[in-house]
Amino acid sequence: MDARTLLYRCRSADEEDLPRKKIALRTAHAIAQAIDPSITASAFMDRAANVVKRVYGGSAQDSYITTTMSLVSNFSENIDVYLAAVINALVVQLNFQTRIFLDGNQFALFDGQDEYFALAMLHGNVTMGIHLTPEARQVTLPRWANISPALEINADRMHHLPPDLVPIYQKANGCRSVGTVLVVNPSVDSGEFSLAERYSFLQGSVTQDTTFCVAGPAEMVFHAAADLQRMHPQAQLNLKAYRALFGRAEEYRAIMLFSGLDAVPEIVVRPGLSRPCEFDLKLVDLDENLTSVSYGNDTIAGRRNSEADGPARGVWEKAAVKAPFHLSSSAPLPAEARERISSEFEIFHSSLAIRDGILIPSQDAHHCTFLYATGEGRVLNDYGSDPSVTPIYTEGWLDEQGVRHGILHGRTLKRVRGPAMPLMFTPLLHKWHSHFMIQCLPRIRIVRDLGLDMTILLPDDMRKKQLEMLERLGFGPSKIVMMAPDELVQADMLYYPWPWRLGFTTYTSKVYDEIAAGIETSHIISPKRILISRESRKSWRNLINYDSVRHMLVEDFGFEVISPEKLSLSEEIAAYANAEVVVGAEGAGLYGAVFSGPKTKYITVCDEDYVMPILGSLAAIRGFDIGYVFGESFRSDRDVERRLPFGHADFIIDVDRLSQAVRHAISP
Amino acid sequence: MLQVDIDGMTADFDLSHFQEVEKWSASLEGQLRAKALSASLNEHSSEVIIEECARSIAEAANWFFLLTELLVTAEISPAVMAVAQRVVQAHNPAHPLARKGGQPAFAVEICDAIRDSSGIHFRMPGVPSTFSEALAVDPQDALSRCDRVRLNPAHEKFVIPLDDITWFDKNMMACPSFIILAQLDR
Repeated sequence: MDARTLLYRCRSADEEDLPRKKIALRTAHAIAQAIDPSITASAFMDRAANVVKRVYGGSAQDSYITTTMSLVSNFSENIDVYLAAVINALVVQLNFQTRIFLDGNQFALFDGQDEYFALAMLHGNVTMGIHLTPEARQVTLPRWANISPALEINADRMHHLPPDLVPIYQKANGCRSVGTVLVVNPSVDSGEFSLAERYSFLQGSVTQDTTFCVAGPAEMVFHAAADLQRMHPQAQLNLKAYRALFGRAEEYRAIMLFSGLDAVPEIVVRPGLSRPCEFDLKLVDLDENLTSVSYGNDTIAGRRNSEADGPARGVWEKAAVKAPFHLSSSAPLPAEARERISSEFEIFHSSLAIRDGILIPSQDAHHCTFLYATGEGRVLNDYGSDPSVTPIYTEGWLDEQGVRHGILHGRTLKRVRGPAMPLMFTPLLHKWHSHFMIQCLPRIRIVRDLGLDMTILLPDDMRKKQLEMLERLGFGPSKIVMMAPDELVQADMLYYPWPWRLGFTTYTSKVYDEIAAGIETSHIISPKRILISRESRKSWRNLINYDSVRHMLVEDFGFEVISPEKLSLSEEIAAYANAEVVVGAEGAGLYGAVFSGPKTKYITVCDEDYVMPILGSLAAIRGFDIGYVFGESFRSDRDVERRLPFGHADFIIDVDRLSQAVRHAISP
Repeated sequence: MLQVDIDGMTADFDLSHFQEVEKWSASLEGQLRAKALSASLNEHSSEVIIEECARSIAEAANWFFLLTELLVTAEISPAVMAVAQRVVQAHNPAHPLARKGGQPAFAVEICDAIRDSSGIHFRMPGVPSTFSEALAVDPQDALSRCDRVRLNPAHEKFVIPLDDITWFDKNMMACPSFIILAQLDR
């Protein structure tokens, strides 16, 4: 069968397909379990859903795709199975022996999203595959490759090469022509390009039999198809528009296959998709498409603004900060800092709901933010984030009425049916586990309070432990949509909670009670005196004399060093719950204190600029004692204006002061 | 909803999302629209899609090429044949395949028919034996090679009398692929 039949012979599965599907799935599940025994049938089926729902090609091809792609889907998330099946068929059909004998070896040229290269090359055992990359690099196979004969890849035939090396490899491998050119989800960063220009090195290698495949967002492929039809009406063109499903999200995508040309066509590919937008939406514009939503009326103790209009509607929750049992500092503490660890503060609970709302990540070296827009592209100006720092805004233009316009770009747009909410309020926030614990994970409570079957929007590079915590709160893969930094997400109703300030409250800390209650830890033995390691820290706020601190605590007081990031969730819970004294630098490592109770004493070390009420607010909730030992920061006086409130300088601690604090903590 | 069980674990799969392709592919025109809708027929076989697909094929200058490509490439289904019937109706209303509205009761491509002295034998799982007459169509040339045939049920199979398909090579034991299609009112 020709690869193009996959475009036509695909349909939703029905009862008659089940016997075949089941045999294929059983094989795949057995292979998956042999590799990772923790993969349950239930999790396997969840991830294989896209493969099960559709019939791909004829019955034999469907068996092959069901086995291979259900396995791949269990090891690589967010794979567009349909696209993978088509590009794989295009490569495997180049193995055709008679074609090789008569026409000579052919190669496959791949250009686009990395993970699809291996999928294209699956079982393409004699076909040379060249992945176009800026520089030559070693082949790294995905985890699933060659784990079973069902997932065989010949790495010897795969190459990552820059354009100028392609003709050299082609000649060296005796390839007379290019059998297929696969342009798969090209990056938005590359901007629009002409195929003829980009693949000029293929001159003389294209024949009437060369099949071109352009795949990506429907909008991008439709433009390219229209170009082709206008400029090369003689080309044999097939076009498939389809919805790719990624859990609760769907993407409108398309694949075009064409052949019958003697050269690379001049057509232009505009990667990704674009939407016009304007920066004119303000909170005074609240209407049925942009509403203010209050939550936690029954679950948050606080001051209510239930009568207020618009975004002022919500609940102010008070957070107490526990007075320290010990405070020592090597440098003068600014008055503001002393106040911060002494005074209670408030967190505002409120949310907006945007009908057909679009979530727009924007980040570069200087900023990182989410923008929110209505379905018509009206970007919200004055709630939570500042659009004027984004390139979408600065590269935009003013119209005669003074309204700023811009263009939203995305590699793709994921459409989520029903309500959805990002767990983070900026795209990279989860990278700092402390922010994840304080300001992100507790948002699950908002979801519950709203009483909606909400889809949670997450970055696609979450830590395993972060995902485990979510799953334990009932938000496993079936309720999550992952988004890459260059993707847009649009939901029927997009919820946008007001970002919380840094600090724990009774409301936000509750999720950790729930997580701990669901995990048995009584069998785990853990140390009583713990030093939270700083050894893996490679960025800012380094405790430069950490080794001296460690030596003193271990030798003089019998502390043991733990690295929470290396512990399992149950080990982590046990460590913090069982400890009597914990010493650590202010940060995520100390916020495992969410699992501690009144019997633990905490000593937080930090510099005089980084004085935070986070652990103090948690101490007030959990009832443990807290002591502070402030050292001295490495910070120029020229930076004094920017040191507060959250300076992130490297620092040193007076070891003797810390020793006194520990003595104080362990004294009866 | 589709229910699948493996190793004692049952999972339900909601299939309701394969709808409304016509809305988001609306920007396509002419042949491109015909090709995109042809490729989607088996996933989106609503009356709107069938009508829109038939119209865009029938209006194209190379409508016969597009029709043949559809019949040769797609998995044959009542929706695919409903499109074919409407396209032929637009160009040759007297043709046996020409028909307005509705989908045929069944339409399936037979790849594994064999002949013996009594006729051409093939299986059509799920098709009731009450159907006695149908059209046998060559997907490569639906206009010239389309015959009314008798369908005789015989031991979970159907048999077409040899003489009913005029365009078959009667010397072949294994028959070429052909489409069997029965109308709603027959």
